[in-house]
Amino acid sequence: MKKCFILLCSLLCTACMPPDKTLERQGISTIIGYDLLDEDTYKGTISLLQFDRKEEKTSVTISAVGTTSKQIRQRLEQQTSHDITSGQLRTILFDKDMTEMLGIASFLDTMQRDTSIGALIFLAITNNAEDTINNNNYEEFPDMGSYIYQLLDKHERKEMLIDSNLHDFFSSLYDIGIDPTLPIIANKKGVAPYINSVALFKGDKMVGSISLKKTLFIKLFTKREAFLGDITFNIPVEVLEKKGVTLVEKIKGDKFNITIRPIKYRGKIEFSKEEAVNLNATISVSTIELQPAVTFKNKESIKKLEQILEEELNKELGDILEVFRKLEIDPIGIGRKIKSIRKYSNTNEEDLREKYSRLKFKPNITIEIKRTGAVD
Amino acid sequence: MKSNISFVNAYIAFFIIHTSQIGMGILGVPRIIYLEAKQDAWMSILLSGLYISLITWIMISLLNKYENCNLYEIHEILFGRFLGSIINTFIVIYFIAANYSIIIGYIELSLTWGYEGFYEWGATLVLLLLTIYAVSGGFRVIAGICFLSFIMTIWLVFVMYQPLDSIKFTRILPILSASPSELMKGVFKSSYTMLGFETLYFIFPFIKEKNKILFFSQLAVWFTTLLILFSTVISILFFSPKELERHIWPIVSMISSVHFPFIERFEFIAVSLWIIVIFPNLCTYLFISSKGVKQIFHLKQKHGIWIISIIILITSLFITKRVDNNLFFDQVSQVGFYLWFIYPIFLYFISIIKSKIFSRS
Repeated sequence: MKKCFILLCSLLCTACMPPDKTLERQGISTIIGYDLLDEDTYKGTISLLQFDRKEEKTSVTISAVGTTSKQIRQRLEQQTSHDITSGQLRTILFDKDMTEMLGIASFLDTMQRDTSIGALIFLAITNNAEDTINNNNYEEFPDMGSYIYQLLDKHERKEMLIDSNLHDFFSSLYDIGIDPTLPIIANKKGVAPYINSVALFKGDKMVGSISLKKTLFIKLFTKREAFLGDITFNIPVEVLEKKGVTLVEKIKGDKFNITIRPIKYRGKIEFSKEEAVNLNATISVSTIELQPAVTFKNKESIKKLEQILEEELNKELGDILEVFRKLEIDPIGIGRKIKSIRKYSNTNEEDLREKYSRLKFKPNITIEIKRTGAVD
Repeated sequence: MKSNISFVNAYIAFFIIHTSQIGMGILGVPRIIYLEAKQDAWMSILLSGLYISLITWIMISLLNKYENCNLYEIHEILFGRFLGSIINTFIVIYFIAANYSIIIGYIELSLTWGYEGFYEWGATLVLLLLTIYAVSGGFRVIAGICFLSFIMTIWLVFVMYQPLDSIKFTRILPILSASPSELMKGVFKSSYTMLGFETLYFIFPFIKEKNKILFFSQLAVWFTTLLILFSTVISILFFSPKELERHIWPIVSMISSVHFPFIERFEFIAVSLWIIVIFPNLCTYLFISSKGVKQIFHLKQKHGIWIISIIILITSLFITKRVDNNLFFDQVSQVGFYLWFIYPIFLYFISIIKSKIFSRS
């Protein structure tokens, strides 16, 4: 009895497996791009990895037209003998027009619903997804999907980009009081696609973009540990003199250039009683390049230099906040901070946006020059 | 009758109670309580844990009065054979339903995560045969399963360190914005996840050192509470409100952002591994319900096991849809709440009153 039972169990358990998947028969899609054709139809383009050794090409790209993401996929299946799988899907590209006009949230529903797609795929925006995927310059990688994935992954790992994977996007899209951002990938003839700028969203629609460098202000207040990126300042010599920064020797030209590298930072959004927002941040930096090479005389002049840099940064932050306010967006998450205060915890999204447009911002960045490298 | 009771040490009670509590519930509980109490969901869980801790104490006080009796026998002593059997039948039905809810819950999860297309009854059959095999081995085998299951799966907690990277602390603020009634609703909804401590009523006769059992059962209850508290807090911090309200199994969705250099998609491992987490639940519930059948109808326990398994298999042909399942879980959790959160207090007072009356006369 017992032996039969064990036999039965083992037969049952070993038979319960999904149909086998031969590697050669799989069409592993690594990237998918969506372009808007007209009102309701989209064009989907995927890049498939080839595993057949005899073939010279390592990848194939195919496109199809449809109304939903899964319909496009169904039509793509008609064009290939391989079994298209999305387990290795790493990047989704969206056409810029589509993101500006229609928004992308409805397209992303399937990415959440479909369990074969992980939460760590990257989202990016490009001018024409089909052209980008069909671009043949992808360095040493086997296909465009792997190249763009490595490009974004490197940036994400080095924290040069604000998080842009599916989970991060959803988490700020569905959160009240913060708007998502996504990288924009530029595509030019003859060169590999590259990260150009960062798209700003209002809800799920793109409304503008900022340069990669400016994202440091967003990172400062939304992430705890990220790489802010080097910051370069061009300061006229008169400003230095006016402030009373004394140097060991006099500068010959009229420009003084300095590049600093943030080591550690701490950003905090404070909401004061009189409806003003203080954006406090301290950044400790090391100077990595000075043009011309000069030595600061004493502690005081370094302190004064710090003040000059602070003013510069505060001005930039103030400017960018005005840009955000004009676009009626809040990528820094000030709204979320307000909502976490008991008094405002019940405000809805519209009220919060309305309140946001009336707020007074007070940027208050403090810079502390901690290291100066091997020379003084 | 006492001769064929196999004793185990008191610390085993920790593993049995803890593994019976942790099961399918923990995967979905953050969302369910979040829908009621919003960002204060974690408080509902703490309250629930506190309450269960009290109930456990009451249960043990009752059990100590009737040494070496399980709940079925206590019912017969307190209410007499006829009335006691009616209550026992009701309890057996509850355990069969709870057993099925775990089975279908797990099957639904594993079908969604990669096994779509398999028959629900087929998967039920596999799980049932395994359970029957384990339960036929008797109480000591079940105790061993609980112990092993705990050792084999507790490390999953440490996987959570990766989602910790992308949490936002402002999401849990402001604290205490939910009204007391919302918090209580949260406690009510947490019952499905917290249930499992009632096994204490049935394993009590099998434990050797009766004086130590209070300590170990409290330890188990608090360990479970802390584990659920931890996963709820992380889910609240990790997901934005709307996201958390959408995901059926927030914990699995959260694990899907975990990846290692050698495993890209860890959630598939976690889902497959979850069978080890639910296995002790199935074993204890089948054991308890078959024990009840034995008590009520004076059948052999072996026959009870088979009868119950056939009932569950037949059920698996009918209740399989997402909406039906949800309704079914709700019913089980409601009945479970009244049966194990409220009823033990009544039972304790009835026993006190009865013993007072008898001592007077």
